[in-house]
Amino acid sequence: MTLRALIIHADDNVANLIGPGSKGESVECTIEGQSATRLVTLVDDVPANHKIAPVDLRAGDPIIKYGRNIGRASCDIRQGEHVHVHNIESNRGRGDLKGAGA
Amino acid sequence: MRDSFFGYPRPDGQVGIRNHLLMLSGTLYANSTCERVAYMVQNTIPIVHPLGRCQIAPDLAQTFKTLVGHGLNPNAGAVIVVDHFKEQGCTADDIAHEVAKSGKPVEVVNIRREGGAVNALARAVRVAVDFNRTITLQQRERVPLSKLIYGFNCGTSDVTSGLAHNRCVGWVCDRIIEAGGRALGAETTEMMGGEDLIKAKAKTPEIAEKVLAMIRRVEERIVACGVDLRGSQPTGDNIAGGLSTIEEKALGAMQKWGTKPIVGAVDYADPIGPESGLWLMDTPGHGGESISGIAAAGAQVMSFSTGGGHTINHPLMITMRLTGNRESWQLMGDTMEVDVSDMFEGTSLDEAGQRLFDEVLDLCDGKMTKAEAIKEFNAFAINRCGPSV
Repeated sequence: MTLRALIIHADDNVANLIGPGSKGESVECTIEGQSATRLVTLVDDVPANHKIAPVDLRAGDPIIKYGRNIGRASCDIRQGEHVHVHNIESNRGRGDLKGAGA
Repeated sequence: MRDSFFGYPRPDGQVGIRNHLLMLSGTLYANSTCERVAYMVQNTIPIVHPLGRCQIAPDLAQTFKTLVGHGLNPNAGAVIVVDHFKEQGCTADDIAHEVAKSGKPVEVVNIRREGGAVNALARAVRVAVDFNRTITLQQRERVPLSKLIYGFNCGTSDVTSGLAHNRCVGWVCDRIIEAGGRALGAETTEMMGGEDLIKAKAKTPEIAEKVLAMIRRVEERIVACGVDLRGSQPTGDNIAGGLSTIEEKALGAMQKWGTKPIVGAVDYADPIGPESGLWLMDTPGHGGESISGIAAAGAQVMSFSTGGGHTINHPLMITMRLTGNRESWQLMGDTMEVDVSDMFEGTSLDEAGQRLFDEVLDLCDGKMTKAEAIKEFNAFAINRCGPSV
C-alpha cells in the first residue's frame, strides 16, 4: 500500500506523513479536501507522522503549515526529505539570537 | 444534540458536576493534615501545594486567588481550609472569607489554634464527617448546558495533535458555545505564531490586543533569558513527536479553539465573564499550572488532548484525556478516556467530535474518568510571578 502524507492547507510547503516511512518509498501527498495528489519519493527514513518536503526548499525559505509561517529552512531541503529540527528553525522566542523576536 | 446535564446547583448560581468536600491547604505546612483527612473521609479531595509562605506580594496574591478560586469551584460542595499559624495576606481565614461568599459551607482549621497537628486532624475529621453528611443529601438536577464552563488544554503534543484530537476539542467548544456555554483555553506560550488567527477570531480589536500583549510579555521574558526556546518549547517529547518549532506547536494547539469568536481574555486564575463564547486565560504551557488556573476560574470539566499520552488529572476539575495517536492509545489507554486515532483512517471530524462531546456530557452527569477511579491527583500547581524570599 502506498504511503500517504497530508498537506493541511493549499499554501503549505510541508506535508505530514501518515505513519512511518523508509528511504526509497513512494508517498502520495494529498491536500486536505482535494483529490489531486503529488507523488514524492522519500530520500530519508522518516519517523511516524513527521513532516516531509513535497517540493524542493531553499535555505531561508519560510516553512508554511496550516497556511501560516512556522519557521524557516536552515539549509536547502530536497523534495522527499524529512523536515524537522535539523533543517528548519523557529523565528520566535530566540533569545540566543540578538534582536530576535516577532 | 444534548443541551443539558445533571449537576449540583450552588447558592451562587454555579453548577457543580461533582459534590466533593474540598480540603484546601493554605500553606505547605498544612498539606499533611489535608491529605490525612482526605485519606480517612470518603468523598473528600485534598488540594496541596508548596506555597503560601515567603512570597513577594504579587506572587502571594496570585497564590491566594488561585486557592480562593478552587474553593469557589462548584465541584466543591463544601470546603475546609487548613493553615498552621498565620500567613500575612494568605490566611485560611482570608481564604474562607472569600469562599463563604458563595454560600457553600466553609470551615477553617488552624493547626496552632487547635493545639497542634493531632488535635487539628481530629477537629478537621469531625467537620469533614459533618459536612459530608450535609452535602450528600443534595440531588443532581437537570440544568442547561449554558451552565458549563468547558476548559481545554493540551500536553505532550505531537504532529497528530493539530490533525486529530485538537480539532475534536474545537468541535466540542463550538457545540457548547452554541448551547450558550463558555469554553476556556489558555497556554499563552502556545499562541506564539498564531497572531493572525487571534486578530481574525477576536470579537473586538481590544480583545485581540489584550491577547497579543500576553504573547509579547511571555516572548520578552523568554528572549531576556538569552536562550533558544526550543527544547523547552517545543519540549523534548514534542520534538520526538515531530513538532519542530513553537509556531508549529502553537498552530496545532489553536485547532482546539474551534470556529467561534474570542469574547474575552483574563489574567491567571481570574474568573471569566458571563458571556457565552471562547475565553482565553494567560497561563504558561506548563500543564498543571495552566489547568489549575482554568479550574480557579470555575471550569467544571476539561478536555486534555495529548499526542504522546498523559497521566494528568486535576483533583477537582474533571479532567478527560484524549488522543489521536494510535500508538499512545495502545501504550497509555489506561490513563486516557477517548481515542480518535481512527480519524487517520477516514472517520470524520463530526463523528469523532460527537464521540468526545458525548463523553464530556457523560462526565458532567457523573460518569467517572479513569483517573478519578484510580485517585490519580497530580495536576494542582500554582503559577508563580515572583521568587521565594
